Amino acid sequence: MTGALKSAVPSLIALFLGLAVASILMWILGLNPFNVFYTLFTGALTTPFGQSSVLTYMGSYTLFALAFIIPGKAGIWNVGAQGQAILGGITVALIVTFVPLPPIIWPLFAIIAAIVVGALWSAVSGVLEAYRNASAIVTTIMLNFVAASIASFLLLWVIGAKVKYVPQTSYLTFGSETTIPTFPYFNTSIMFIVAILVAIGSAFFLARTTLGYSIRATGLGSRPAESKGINPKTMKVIAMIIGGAVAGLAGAGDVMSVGHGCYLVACYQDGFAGGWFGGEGFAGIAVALVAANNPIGSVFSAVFFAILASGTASVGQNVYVVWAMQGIIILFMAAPALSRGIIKLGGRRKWI
Amino acid sequence: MDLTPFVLLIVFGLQWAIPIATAADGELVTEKSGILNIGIYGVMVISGFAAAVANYQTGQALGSSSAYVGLLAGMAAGVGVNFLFAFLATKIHVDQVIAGIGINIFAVGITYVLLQRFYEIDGTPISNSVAPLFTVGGLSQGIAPKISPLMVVMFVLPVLVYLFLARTKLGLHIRAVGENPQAAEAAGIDVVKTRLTATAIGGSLLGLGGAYLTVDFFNSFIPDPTGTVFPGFIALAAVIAGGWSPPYVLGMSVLFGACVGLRFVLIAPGALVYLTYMLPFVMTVAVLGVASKRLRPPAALGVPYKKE
Amino acid sequence: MGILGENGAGKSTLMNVLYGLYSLDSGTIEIEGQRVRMRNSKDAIERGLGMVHQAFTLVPNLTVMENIVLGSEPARAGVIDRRESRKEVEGLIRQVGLEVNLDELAEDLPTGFKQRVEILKALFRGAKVLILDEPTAVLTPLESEELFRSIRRLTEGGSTVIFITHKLKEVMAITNRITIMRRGKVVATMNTKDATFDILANAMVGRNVERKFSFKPYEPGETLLEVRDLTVHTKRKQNAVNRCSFSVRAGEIVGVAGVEGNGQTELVETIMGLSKPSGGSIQMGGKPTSELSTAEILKLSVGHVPEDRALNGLILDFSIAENTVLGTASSPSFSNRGLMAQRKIRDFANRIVRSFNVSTSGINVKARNLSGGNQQKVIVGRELSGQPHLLIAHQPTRGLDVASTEYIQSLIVDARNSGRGVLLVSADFDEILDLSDRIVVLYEGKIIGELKRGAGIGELGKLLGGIGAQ
Repeated sequence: MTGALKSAVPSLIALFLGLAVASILMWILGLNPFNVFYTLFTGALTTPFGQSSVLTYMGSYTLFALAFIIPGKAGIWNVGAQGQAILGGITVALIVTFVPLPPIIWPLFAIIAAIVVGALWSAVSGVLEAYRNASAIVTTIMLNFVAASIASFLLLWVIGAKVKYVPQTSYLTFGSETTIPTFPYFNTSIMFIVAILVAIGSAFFLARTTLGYSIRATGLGSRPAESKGINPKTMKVIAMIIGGAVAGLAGAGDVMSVGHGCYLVACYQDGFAGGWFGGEGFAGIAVALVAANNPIGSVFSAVFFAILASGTASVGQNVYVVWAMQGIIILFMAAPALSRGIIKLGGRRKWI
Repeated sequence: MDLTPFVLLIVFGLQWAIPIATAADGELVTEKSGILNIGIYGVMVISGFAAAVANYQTGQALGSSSAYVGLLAGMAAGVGVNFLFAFLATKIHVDQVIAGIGINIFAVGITYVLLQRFYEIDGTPISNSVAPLFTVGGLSQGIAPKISPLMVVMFVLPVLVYLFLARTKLGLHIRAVGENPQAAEAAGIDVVKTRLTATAIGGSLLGLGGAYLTVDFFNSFIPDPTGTVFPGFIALAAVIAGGWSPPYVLGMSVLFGACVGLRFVLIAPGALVYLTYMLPFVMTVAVLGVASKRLRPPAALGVPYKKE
Repeated sequence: MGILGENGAGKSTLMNVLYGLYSLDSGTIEIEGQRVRMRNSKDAIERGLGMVHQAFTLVPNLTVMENIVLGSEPARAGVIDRRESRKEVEGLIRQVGLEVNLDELAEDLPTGFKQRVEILKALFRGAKVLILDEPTAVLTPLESEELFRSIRRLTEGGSTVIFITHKLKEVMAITNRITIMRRGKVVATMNTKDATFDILANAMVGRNVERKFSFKPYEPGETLLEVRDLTVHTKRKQNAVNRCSFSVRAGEIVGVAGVEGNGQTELVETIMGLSKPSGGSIQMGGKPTSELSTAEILKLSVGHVPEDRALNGLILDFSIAENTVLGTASSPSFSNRGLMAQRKIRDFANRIVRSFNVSTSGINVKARNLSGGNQQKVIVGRELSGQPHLLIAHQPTRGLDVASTEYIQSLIVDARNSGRGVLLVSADFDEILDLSDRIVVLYEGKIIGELKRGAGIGELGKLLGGIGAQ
């Protein structure tokens, strides 16, 4: 455990550097950074709305971070969690609209379907990289756009045809029986608990199972692994599939949660979501990096980013300051001492 | 048969091809030297913002030529950001992919913040734009198709880029550095300097692309959280699908531009429009999947260069 | 001037220092009577040195002409003067007699031509001294002939050529003087006309400490590995392995001797299933294995100590414990329904650390933090723990200290004494001579000779240098 904490130090340093630079930026713009952070934290942590937001964001962020971390352990970059999640979400929406199922069964069915769809989508990139040497970075980013495009189309064309949908609102609400159970007191869905469980599960999977071992071996040393009979191609694809599955779950969770019903749907109606850079998919990468690509660590990192996000939302300041901050933090995280220690990706010599 | 939709498609397509092709050419030069800049989108946003601001601020004083000031400001911003990126990549050996993602996220955030802070509106007010060569009828979509002088630039650029890479010393050095930096170093070429220069040059073109959008096409800066306004990723796709060869990249850019242009032309069923958004990307993924073994990116692309 | 020596003799390193690629720790370099300091290859180039490396430094997507003029392009205002370039390069080609198509892309050239371009490159920069590092390693016999002709022309024209090689025939054929290096030192310098193969071979492969191991009487058992007419073509080389046939039986050590680069890597990789052969057959225990995957071959009770422990043998960022189950983690001995059996793995790792004298503070130490010797012990321990019938050891003691080397070698001998068959592929000739029951010498992909235990160093030296039993 101490090893994990030790590797967190460089990321924490980067984090503070990032915050420091962001503060300087704010100061230049005439804002008082201390004020900003103070309002942020109090807004997030003391108001009931803030608290429930924190938990909701935290759940999403954790899952998105895991969607990046797990394939990363095999040496493959999954920058496509955004798209995978979007497809997961739209799958849920489709099921709600077209498949009548009894109350308890349908959420389970929808979630499983979303997971499968997310996994299939990421599998495309996984296979393309493992077997055709097409860089996953590129294909996952491209497929994000494709996913959003498909989702928008389905939403407006297919679902919009069947359900009364007023484009002005950001929500396509499903009705109360279609949401996931809520956690009492905080008025948020139980997704954050699910996320924590998935994080613990991922950590266990990677550290204790033979498949997890093979995945890590592929990422840390694909040549020695290959010479001992592990097939790096298969492992990469499997890792990607798992990553996509987690992202699909995140998408489903987002869409089905109370109050947060529709991050993603908001994108759809907005004329279309391509990159959605504020999107949780990309934030997930920042969360993962700050957590030094450690599954358990991502929970804590997610809490931090969730506070940031929730605080800004509840305080009324625009979300974009947070984006800028996230961007700066990511830039700092890219520094080699950090990257080497954090991300052991197999040599990217064959770029495409 | 009513030809208007086709004419419109061609016109819109060509218009949209301008930022795509310009940015793609810029990214091509950068990538030829081995630097992979996924942050094209962010650079375009920042340049577009800088251009809009410059355009607006000098609007009163300079009249219609403020647009050119805007373009220059945009190019300068592009050079600046790209140079910073290249510096981080070559001297500090940051991971280029992560840094690129960081730039993207940062760009959207910071421009919006600055916009709110200084202008308190959602788009910088319209000022002067580069005078179009001629317009083609009025149109209900709200963005009257006009043919910008930059369209000429778009067709000339690939020729310039090709000649630059093929016939000049620097161009040769760039191609060498991106393919086999060790060999280039052995031949006495300063790999780091070459890459910095190439990225700066590329940045100027990225900036031009971004500036075109805010100064000419939209005539305002539109914050773009969804990535639909500034076609940075489409440009990236064009470079890849065009196999890093200027003429093909231009071809792909025009093709992708047409895809974007479809959005404005398809007045019919609203939802189908969304499917057009994905065309450039589907095509690129398909190209990658099929021709990946034959596509030839610069071999050292994205790999940080460390001396012995 | 020929520089003759085996692997690790220091020939390439010396030349790299001369050429400015490495920095020297002590001593001086003098050129034309003046002491010089080489800070980088640019300095060396300016002083008239040119080097052609074993791994070519051409830029694949540029044309031949672009490659030749790279870095010293005749240009006006930044634009390359193509006519001038062409004139100069063509002039050079005429002068030297190395014909090559200027407009072809470097990546499309056959190896022999790539080398020509490298030479032209050096000459274009005004190299008066040309250093060639193992130039014939990648050439066909015909191309080698042409290279020699060009070298002669060059020297007739006043250039100096330094020819690094381990091949005795070549050094006798083309040089005027020979300098022999061994283990980093120059051991002899002589005029070529005074040299003979025997003198050279003895000087090149001089014996060091002869290690004594106790060998049980030589009574080889069943055939464990049978390689027949094996041929392997790789992307870089046709006939990297050229119709090799040999066998390994239980209770014997078969040493494959050869200077590195003569096909050893391809041979071992193909036997282990990492590459597919282009011809011939491989059988283990009577079963053909060329179509099997590496995992399947390993299951046939084969142990493999790979060539480069950091690259192929261990995952440096894994702990010792994790490395010991590489490849076997999914087997029933270490796993239970998909979960890794932590205690069993721990016990196994501890056993290996104890039995094989791995000096470490614990099994959770990352492999990266072990010394080379200890890393190798982990690998060998891991392989031997599986009680393999056949052990393939590829450069098992390369880069190790004396104590570790002896220890690993004793493990190999023990394996042989306990009835296993060992295929020992090594460029360490002392090791080969000390350990092997039978020796097979690999030269340019072919087996050019066989020796038995007790063979003389001179015999081995000649074979290594390419002088086979005709």
